[in-house]
Amino acid sequence: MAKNGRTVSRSATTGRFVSKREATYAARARVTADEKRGKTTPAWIKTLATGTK
Amino acid sequence: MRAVLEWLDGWVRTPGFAGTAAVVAALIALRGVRVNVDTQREATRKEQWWERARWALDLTLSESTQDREVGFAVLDALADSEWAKEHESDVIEAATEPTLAAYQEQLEDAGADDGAQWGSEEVEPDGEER
Repeated sequence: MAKNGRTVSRSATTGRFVSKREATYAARARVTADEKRGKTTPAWIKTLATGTK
Repeated sequence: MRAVLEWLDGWVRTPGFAGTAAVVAALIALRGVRVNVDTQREATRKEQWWERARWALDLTLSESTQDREVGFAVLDALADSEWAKEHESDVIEAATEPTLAAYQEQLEDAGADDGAQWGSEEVEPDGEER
């Protein structure tokens, strides 16, 4: 769909738009859960969680 | 040996032995009760964790972006709880995976489309762009 002259797509996975803030909260939860069980979190999720990028 | 047995035989018939046996029995019973109370308390805490998690998981499925943000923030807090063990962390991963995959997909789409910058734009709570 076109919005403000730009192409805006919806996720094929969830069928909805995911904002950066929502993704950041999800990434934080994921990082915390991974730390708890000693699992390695993908780098891009860690970056998203810290909000450094 | 015979002298010891005779002494024991005499001692078990004294009120002192009965009192000692009663105290030992009470201590064993008290320990059993304490273990039971601790187990019950742990089960209650765990149940409360799951009730909150269910509420947060429902929020992450909401149509409202703001609700979903609150849901994931609460999941983050719950993931940090002492009651979140490996299984609970697995559930949190399962709950966050679709959103993270969708976001990654959007970033890839944005990369293919020069005009879009999904990763840096501010978004209103209802999902509308500012």
